[in-house]
Amino acid sequence: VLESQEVRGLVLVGRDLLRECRHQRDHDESHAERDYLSYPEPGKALLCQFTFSAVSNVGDSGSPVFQYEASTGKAWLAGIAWGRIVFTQETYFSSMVSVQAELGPLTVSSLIY
Amino acid sequence: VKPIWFVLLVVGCNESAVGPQPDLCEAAQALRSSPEFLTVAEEADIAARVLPGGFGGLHQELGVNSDGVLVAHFKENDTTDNLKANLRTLLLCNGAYPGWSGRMIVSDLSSIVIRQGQYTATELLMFLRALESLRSDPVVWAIEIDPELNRVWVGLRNASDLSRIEQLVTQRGVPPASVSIEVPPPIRGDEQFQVINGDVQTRPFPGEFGALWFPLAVRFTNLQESPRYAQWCVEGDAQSAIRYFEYVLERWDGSQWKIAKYTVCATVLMPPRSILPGESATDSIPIVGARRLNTVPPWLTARITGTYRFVGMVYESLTATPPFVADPAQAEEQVSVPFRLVNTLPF
Repeated sequence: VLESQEVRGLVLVGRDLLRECRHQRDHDESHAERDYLSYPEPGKALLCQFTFSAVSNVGDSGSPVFQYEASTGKAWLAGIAWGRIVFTQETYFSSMVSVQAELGPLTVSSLIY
Repeated sequence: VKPIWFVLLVVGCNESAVGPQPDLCEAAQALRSSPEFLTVAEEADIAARVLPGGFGGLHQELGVNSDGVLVAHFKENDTTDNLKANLRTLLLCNGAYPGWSGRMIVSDLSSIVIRQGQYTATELLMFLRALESLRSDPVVWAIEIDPELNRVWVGLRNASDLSRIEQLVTQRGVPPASVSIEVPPPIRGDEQFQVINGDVQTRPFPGEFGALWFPLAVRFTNLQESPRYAQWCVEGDAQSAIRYFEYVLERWDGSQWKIAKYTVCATVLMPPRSILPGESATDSIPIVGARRLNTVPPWLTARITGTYRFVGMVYESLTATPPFVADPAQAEEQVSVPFRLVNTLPF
């Protein structure tokens, strides 16, 4: 958990962070909001990808995505940004739950998914 | 006691008569030539023959980052709760559209929208078959049932044959109002994108149910007097990344262009490419889209076959530095000349 003053340096502030994974597919604990079909890797999909409503810029891939909760004054590490849709002004990110499911536990003290 | 018991029994029977009808499934199974998915038109026909209310077809109206709603056309007025309940019963038991419920279309009642249709799916299939011979006409490039329009859709190569095709439709006993004949959209003359590979067909996306892809070769030619810049849309991992113009695809609906497909691009730091006046840049782009639930990038139009245009994003830089970090560049949406896409997939 990060205190609110620690995230003041963020240059991109979005809204409508999608919090709930709504279905499961292919494997046990994968929570998918959107499966992303990628080419040129046919047969592969990025499961359980999330968005927030602000468009990131080139070079923003790999940035942490935080969700600020006004009620507690704290920000939660939600995921890692990787893509954007210019048309809809949205940014895609992989949730920390998914990241840790693949890489193992990381040193963060709390999560959303 | 007996008279009271009798009255309760009658009320119970009446309630079951207006609710979901489980025998719909048996009736549909009896009509099927195969438990496997047939064609969309044939599945709709089976549903129309067992569902009360004059079923005209269905399609998932996918939204941007949303599964949207399942739209079903019905010809007759009825209480929509009954129509929805019966339709849901039929879909869940795979009596029609086997394999679609929960994958291609939503199954919860609250996400089903009933719209007034003019034709049943059985009528539309009959009209489609009556018009099959038009496929051999050189001016006709596609004939399909359009579930959004609740009509048969016919694509023509040029507008000058419109009245002749309209006459042929009438001669084959098909009501003119049941057919939407589309002529090519106007060409503006200032299109700076060109689709090089002409007419294209959809292909199944390997390993992914309800998804499609096709390659599209596009060329941008800068016809203006100052340089244009284009950000790279990057896909794939470090070993197999490909890059191309950021774009959307729009489909012509007979009167206007409608968004059909948008791109999701990795936000990799790369300098944009510069295209000087008179110069061209060419990309081969794998266009990927999904008509199933919970998937990006979605293909937003239910009728995939149609006339499309490529809308690419370029920028005019106002500064000497490349416009990739906080540059006050003027974004332009440059369009291509139209191209035809034929869907070969069963959705």
